[in-house]
Amino acid sequence: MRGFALKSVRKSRISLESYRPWVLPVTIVVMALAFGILFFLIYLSFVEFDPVTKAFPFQAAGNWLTLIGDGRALNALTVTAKYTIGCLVIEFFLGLGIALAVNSVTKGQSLFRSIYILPMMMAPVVTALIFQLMYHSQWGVVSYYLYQSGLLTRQEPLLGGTGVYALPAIMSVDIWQWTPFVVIILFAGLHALPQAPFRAARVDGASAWQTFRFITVPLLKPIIALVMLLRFIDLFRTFDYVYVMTAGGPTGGVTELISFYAFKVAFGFVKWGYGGTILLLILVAILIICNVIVSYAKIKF
Amino acid sequence: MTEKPVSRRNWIKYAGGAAVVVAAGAIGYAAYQSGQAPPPVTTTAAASTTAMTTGPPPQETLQDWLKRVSAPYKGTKLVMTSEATPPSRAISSITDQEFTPLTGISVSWELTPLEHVLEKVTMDAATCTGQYDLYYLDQAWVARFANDVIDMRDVWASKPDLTMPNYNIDDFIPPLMQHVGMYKGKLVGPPCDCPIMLTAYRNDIFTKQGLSFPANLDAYMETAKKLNNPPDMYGTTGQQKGGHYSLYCDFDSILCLYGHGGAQSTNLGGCALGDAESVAGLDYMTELKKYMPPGVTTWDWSGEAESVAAGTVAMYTSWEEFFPMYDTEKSVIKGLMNFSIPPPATKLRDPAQCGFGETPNICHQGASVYTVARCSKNQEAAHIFLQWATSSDIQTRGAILGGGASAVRVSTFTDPRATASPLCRHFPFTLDAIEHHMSTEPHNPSQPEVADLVSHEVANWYGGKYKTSEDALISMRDQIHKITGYVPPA
Repeated sequence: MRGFALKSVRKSRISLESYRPWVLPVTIVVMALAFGILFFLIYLSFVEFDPVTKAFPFQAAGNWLTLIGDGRALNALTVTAKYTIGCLVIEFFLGLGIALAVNSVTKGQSLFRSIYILPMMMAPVVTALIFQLMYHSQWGVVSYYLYQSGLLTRQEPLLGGTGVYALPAIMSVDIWQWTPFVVIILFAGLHALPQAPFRAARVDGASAWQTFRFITVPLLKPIIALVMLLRFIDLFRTFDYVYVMTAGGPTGGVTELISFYAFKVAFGFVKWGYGGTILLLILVAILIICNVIVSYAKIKF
Repeated sequence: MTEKPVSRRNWIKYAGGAAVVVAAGAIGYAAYQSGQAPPPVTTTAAASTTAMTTGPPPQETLQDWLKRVSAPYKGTKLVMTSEATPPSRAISSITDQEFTPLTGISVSWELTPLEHVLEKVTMDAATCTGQYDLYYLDQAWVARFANDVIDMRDVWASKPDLTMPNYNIDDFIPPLMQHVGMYKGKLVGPPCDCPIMLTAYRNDIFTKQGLSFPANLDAYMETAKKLNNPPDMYGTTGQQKGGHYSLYCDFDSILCLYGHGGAQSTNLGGCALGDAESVAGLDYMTELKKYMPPGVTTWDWSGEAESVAAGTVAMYTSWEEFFPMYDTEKSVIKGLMNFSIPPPATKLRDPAQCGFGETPNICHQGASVYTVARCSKNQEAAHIFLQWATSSDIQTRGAILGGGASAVRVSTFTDPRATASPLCRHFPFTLDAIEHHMSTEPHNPSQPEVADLVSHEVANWYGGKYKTSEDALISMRDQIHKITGYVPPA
């Protein structure tokens, strides 16, 4: 009987009844694309493209040494850090607040969810174009009302002047478009929480704040960590808004994120080797920080 | 954990369903695409539109020639990458209406912003996959891609039957051919457009204020200052988007570097920035910026033109290809703009003191060429199309249909269709500018990166990174030397 069972297991591994042979082709393609591109990037980081001869002469560690001494890359990383942390904090608290508010409402939840996810449905490039028009220094509707209210002067428009408001302006676009993502994930998490602790807290006379602080947040922690992880990855790679709205300007690279700088190096300067090096840096940075988040929050996939 | 096997029947059902959805989507997309009309060519003069698009039929000899030489290439599909300029849009429309039906050669135009064209040409030239048969090359890229294109004269020599009758290469404005079409003795490509900087000013405002056109750059600054009354009216405007090529163009123009005797390069191969002339130029442009709309650092040439079209700018110096938009039916400044060659420079550097073919002068140009890619798999068909697209009749119609834009042949300026068109009233100044006042950027292979660096650092200067303009320019010079690999003599 045992021998018969083993024979059956061996047969089912190669049997068409198993999923494995069916997903093998797509797995091969995905793995080849992912690792193939990664290996090509690593190769690029040790060579440089000559646009005249079309050759890729070996640079040894030249690109990496250039990156270490590149002030513009350091500025881009700094701007990216400000952008990522700023958006992450605001999107989280705003998203959590909205999720809690929606969760407390009994009627109209479905309707609200349908409306609220609309910003996420738009392509980021389209969103950036629309906001660029609304923020236009001379005839943008948002700029107009900000001038009228005295919150903004024409000498320092949102996307122009010395650029003091440019990064917050771009952040506002990201916050508008992706806070709903945070809302959806947290709302789903809130819905999935067990009700017994909340009933016990009510019986024990806990206040709303105490319930939130000692029950809701700890139970929601894995979901919070997951949503922060996902948003961090996307924020660190942001490109569309900068490309459309400011091209890294208006002054001093105030909105030049690292991914935009990598694009500029690779396609503007046609330095594919150095551009690939910057992209690898982005990948390594994301991997390290993600692993820190995953291990700290003990996220299980 | 036990795995539930998917039965063969269910897998086939699911895969088949997915395949049906994908196929339906593909068929729907194809049907949608086939129903799309090409973008219309717009012009305000309806009568001239009809005349231009139907036009006088090509000459019998040319028509016969096209039919005969294109017969072996019937069914060929050419792919061309080009900036979405008014003449390019116009010629792409004429291609579908005339060239393709006559020859059976279809041409797919990829019209995109200028920076995208650079990316595409770079990729295609580097990989030599032959994805594109024809390129649009900006004059700043000619040095970089000179080896990746075909010299028309070589084809004429080797395949004389493919030579278009009456093509008349001498009809191209000579300075354009010399500074844009040619690189180190090679004909990189025939010029296809030539946006060039002229000065446009509100004649009604000047008349009301009793002002005459500025006689020199000091008077230009005084005029801008006098007419500046924000937010209703600004003395001037610019195209100073930080990090964009447009800011480099303003830097390199009469209103900055070239107008004050400066230049980007030296005749020893180094960078000339940081000298007294370039400092004077940057100081001038910085002062002039005070009389521009604050949004000037957010827009390129399109936004600049829009700020003028909105009626909020008294005077400016920039690309003449936008001038016709001020005379459209819906324009609030219709008929109010006058045009002129910019004021003379304070001093002009001798081109012999510059390197890489740099020619300082008062009218900055952004000309381009069409050319056949070296790796094209359809070189003969592309060569036939290139001659047709840059022939006198097509170039004239393209310039007029493109709204009075960027003519490159002498015959266009004297063509009765152009002289009669209200969209071309700036043409006499354009021809004068190209023939006698045209400047040219340095043509070195690193020029795209150098231009980006200059644009970035000028924006940094505006943002307060540097204490003085001299510091900013010296920093630019040192960085440019690193890019080009030039080592200054001790």
